[in-house]
Amino acid sequence: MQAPSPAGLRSSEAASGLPSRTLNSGRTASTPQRHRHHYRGLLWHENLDGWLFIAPWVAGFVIFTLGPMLASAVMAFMQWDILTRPKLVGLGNFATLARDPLFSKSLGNTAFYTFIGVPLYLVLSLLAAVLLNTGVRGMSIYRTLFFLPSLTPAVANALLWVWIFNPDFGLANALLWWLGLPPQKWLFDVNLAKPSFIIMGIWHIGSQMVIFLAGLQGIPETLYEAAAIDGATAWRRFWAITLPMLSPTIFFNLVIGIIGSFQVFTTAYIATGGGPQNATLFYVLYLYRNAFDYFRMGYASALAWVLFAIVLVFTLAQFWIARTWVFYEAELVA
Amino acid sequence: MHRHFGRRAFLKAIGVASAAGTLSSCAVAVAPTPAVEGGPTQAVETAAPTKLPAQRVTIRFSSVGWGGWLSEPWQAIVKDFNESQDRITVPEYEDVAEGYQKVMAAAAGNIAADVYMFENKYMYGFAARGFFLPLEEFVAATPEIKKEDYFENDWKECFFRGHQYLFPFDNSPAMIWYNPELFDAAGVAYPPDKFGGWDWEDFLMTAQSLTKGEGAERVFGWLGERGYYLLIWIWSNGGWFLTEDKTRCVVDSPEAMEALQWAVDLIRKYKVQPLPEQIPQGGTSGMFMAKRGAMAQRGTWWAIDLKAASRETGLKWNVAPHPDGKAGCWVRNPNDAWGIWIGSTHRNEAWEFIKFLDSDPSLEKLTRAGLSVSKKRILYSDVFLKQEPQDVHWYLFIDALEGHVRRHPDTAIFAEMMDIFNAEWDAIVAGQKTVQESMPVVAQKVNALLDACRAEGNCD
Repeated sequence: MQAPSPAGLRSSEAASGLPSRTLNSGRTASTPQRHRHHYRGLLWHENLDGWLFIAPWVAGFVIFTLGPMLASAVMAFMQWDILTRPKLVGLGNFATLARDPLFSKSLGNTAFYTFIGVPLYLVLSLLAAVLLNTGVRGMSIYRTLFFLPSLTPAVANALLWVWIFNPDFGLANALLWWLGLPPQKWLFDVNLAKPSFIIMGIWHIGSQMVIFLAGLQGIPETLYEAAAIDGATAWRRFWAITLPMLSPTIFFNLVIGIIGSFQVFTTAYIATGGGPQNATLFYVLYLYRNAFDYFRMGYASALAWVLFAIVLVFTLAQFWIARTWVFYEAELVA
Repeated sequence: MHRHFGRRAFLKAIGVASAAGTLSSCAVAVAPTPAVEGGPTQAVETAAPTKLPAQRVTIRFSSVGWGGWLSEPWQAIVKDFNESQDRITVPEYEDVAEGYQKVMAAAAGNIAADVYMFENKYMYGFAARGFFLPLEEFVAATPEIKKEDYFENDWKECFFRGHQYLFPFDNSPAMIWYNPELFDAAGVAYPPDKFGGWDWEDFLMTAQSLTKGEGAERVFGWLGERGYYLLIWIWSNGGWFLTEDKTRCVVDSPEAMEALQWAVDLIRKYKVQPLPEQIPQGGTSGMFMAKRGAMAQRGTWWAIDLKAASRETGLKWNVAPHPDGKAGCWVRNPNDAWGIWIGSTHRNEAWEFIKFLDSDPSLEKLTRAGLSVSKKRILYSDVFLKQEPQDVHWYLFIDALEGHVRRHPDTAIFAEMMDIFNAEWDAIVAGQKTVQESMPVVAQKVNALLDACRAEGNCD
């Protein structure tokens, strides 16, 4: 946005024939034109400094993100195996996709993981945040402990959970035995493999919890005090104050959670390889296989853009629905 | 006159940068063979060796897929090569390990290594797409190389569509590896020490006698594997996975399905082989070393791990041939070989390095490390036959190579083919499908893949 040009202010002066003025520096602004040039020069330098500061990020974004994105958009219409020249196939990849049973299988697996996992993680992370926000002693330690698993590398995380879910000696079946329940095959059971992945995801609620905690701590205490004076119960205060005031944070975690869940890959690649019987063949894992195992980078690019479109549609839908349930404090005040 | 560098100007600059980035990322380093669109059905660029130029050159060597525990002999060979002459330098040994994806990316970026050690099963996909330089003219111009010096199966595995894309390096015929201590404890006679000494019924009785215990303490008589390891049963029963010319999938033939039923019965009916959920994180290899399995199937390369286990824990082991089926005993023999990237600008020097890798001293180093190499005279020598532990029946590997190995059903689509098969096999092992239901599905899908592969020019 350009700063208002002082020339605009001066032009009436000039037009009126008023004499020129002496600037504080002692220089004489003999014409409005000189003022305009001087001011534009300052603006140019300020702008340039700003752009230079963000240029490294922009360059990285263009080279490592935007450029490859545009390249893959072109590759989606090509048959390309990386090693040879790409061949234009038009919409052929998208037509293949429509007939590919593993496309729908992988999308279904990913949708299951997303639409069951994301709400579960939201609820659990909100619950954890609410508990931590009660001001218990050692809250910072608990907060750290909850957040630490989010920092574990994905591969280490996957190997750890493979061990936990081992049917013979894993901790999961040990817990079931202690509860008097029968052991399960977990990652080896077609019906339990995806729920096992959802359980693995609970390990990472720490990052959402921290965001919720920040949101909770931003809710004015006066609201709770006023409600308490009016006789509102704890549940009523939570429902009528906490949730509405926290709705922007919930919305943020929901959007980010759905985007992230649709891209689940590393754990499936390490823990199950997509098995048993493709029960954990998630979308991005299938995309990866097409790109690097099956020499179908063009088809993989088409898969990537279809995923982008699906995630975009979901995100836009969430923004649209959010008008009915997300309340921003600024809007309320206004 | 100063111009205001505002948002529009910046966005224009970004657009130019994006376009430049897009164009550069779209640029594909195409293999310079003329057959890139339809696979090497047309004339394939070959290169006869020429006289080496005078200046010193540097070439890169990479071992792909494995090599971590062989880095010491590889490094020693590279050092010896550098010291043996002063014209060619190999700077260091690169272990890309499990990195065929990296090889593809390197080729696309025109920075692939000059010489690769490749697993043969990957050769077809890469050769069909012009990654390798055909070597027949180099071989023809090197009189000391005679194909009779190499095991026939290993030599043949380096060819695709009439061109030799790789040079044979090692082999790995599948054997039964057994723990004599578990046999002694169960009072069971050891497996025979020659081919033709037992059949499937003998094998089953042996495995049943060795299987005992429950839960995490259970010891299994047989630690079988899935995927390509099932070929042993199929072939020995007279069936095939792909036809011998690799043009059709025939895993739904009666012989093949009978063999696969036998294999799944070992798991579900006789319970001498663990279910997938009974295999811990270390895999069947870990189970064998932990003495939770009396017999396992692996190739020669497993000797490296077992020698290390023997030094650490005193583990005892030996090898035996697979039992005879209706069609005899046929085992798989995965190979590794060396190849030259077609984009290499130092092809002659790369060939010189391959010749050095193939020299007897280099192969002896790798044999002492635990491999079985393709050059016969090394395998027939005491370096292989009298290696430690000396009571191991090392000669059985040679017997296998000379009369009991079959060519792998490797094609340009082998990865996808095995994913299809393994998904169905998992369902069979889980008891959710039968062999008779699954194998026609596998055959249909694989044949569709082969048809598509042929249409693209990458399969025969």
